[in-house]
Amino acid sequence: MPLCIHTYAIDITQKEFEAYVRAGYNRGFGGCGDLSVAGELKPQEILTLRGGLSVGNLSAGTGEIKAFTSVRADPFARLPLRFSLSYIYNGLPRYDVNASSILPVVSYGTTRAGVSYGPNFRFTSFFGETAQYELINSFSAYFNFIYNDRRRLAAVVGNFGDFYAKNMGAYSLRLNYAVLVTGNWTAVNEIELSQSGGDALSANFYGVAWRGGAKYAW
Amino acid sequence: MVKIHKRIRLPVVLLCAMLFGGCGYDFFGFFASSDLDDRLKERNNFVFLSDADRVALTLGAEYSFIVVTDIHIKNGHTYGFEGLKAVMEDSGNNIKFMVVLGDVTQNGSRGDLELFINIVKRFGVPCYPVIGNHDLYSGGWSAWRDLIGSTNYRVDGDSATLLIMDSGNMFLGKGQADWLERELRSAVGRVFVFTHANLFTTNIEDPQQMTDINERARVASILRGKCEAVFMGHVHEWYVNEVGGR
Repeated sequence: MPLCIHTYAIDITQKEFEAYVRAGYNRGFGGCGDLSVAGELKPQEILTLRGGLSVGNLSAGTGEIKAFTSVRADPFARLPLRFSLSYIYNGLPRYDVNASSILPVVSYGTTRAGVSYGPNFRFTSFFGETAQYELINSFSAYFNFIYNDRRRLAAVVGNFGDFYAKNMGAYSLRLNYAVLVTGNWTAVNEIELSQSGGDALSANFYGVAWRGGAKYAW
Repeated sequence: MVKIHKRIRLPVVLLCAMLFGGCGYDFFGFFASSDLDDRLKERNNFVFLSDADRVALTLGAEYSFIVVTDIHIKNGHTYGFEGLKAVMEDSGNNIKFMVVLGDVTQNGSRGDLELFINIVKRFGVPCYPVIGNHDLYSGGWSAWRDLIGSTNYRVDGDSATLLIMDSGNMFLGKGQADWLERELRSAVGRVFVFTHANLFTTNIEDPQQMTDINERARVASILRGKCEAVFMGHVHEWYVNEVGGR
């Protein structure tokens, strides 16, 4: 019986590589910062693979390791509805605590605005013990004040991103500005303002951070 | 009559539902919540607790204590809290003290806080109050400061140490975590920690918990092997998380 081998041609339509430095302050730990890199591939037009690694300090002597990998599908040509699944790792070696988040997200977004929501299945292991399980709402919304071929200025409110999926009350406000410097290079600057959580408007200031870096696409 | 355009009618309705649906219709209670750093300046101010209750709590080798949380006294309605006295007297247990884990009042009202104090003074055992987010609403910190005092303090017993922490704004802060680490070095006997905000969440319908999970990791690391239990309120549910074998 002849052996049939089916092959599928993979045509990577887009590749991106990003690198950032982040410096900030929060009331839980004081000064903090990290360096992060991330990459993106589109093996098919409707599929995007992303992954990244971040190392930094929560405070002096308290290192933090973060990593993520995700897959995103844009199955509808005429409907801006996306589905993604991410795995996010957050490790604090000094405290012997690490958390893994599995985050499926549904997003609806246009060039002007969008929202994302998903349940965060988080498993946190303390001191090598059996992980504590929590199920938390993850949400994000953006609004593009400027969006064209060269520039994007966006405000983002939410409690999750590539490298983190926080508690529901830990949402922050980010102002993100990206400029296409050359055909391949984009410069990115972002300011993030964090609040202390709590009920609605009774929260206080918690932290601020700046993130800057560059993205190369080819 | 004010006409509301159709496009903004639904968001306005949803916003009002969110604000009024949470925390028992205290729209104005959401504003003017005081800051943790301001409260910690009053750390050594004690109005309600006596020196004996703080530095010479007599427990003995065997004792019981009661933990109450989220009474939410509102406009004089105590939800039967004063009835706890009879329960305590009839229990036959060797109850030595009580801790109230925050949200003593629904909206930080001075009158409701005075009512709480009058009730617990009749219980016959020391009562150690913990501040909650509701106690800060509508400028409630001024009433707490005048009638109770410190929100972050230590109680020394002959066979146990109690550490009370302020998480009214849903975080502890570097200063309190440093304080916790220092106080543990001189703690005597069993250590119990009390704070209002919960470190873990139970389900997706319970969105409220202490904000920063990195802070949670630090606190867990500090308490590892040094603490019998951490008692928390806020979620109006009973559940237990075991961390570090405790």
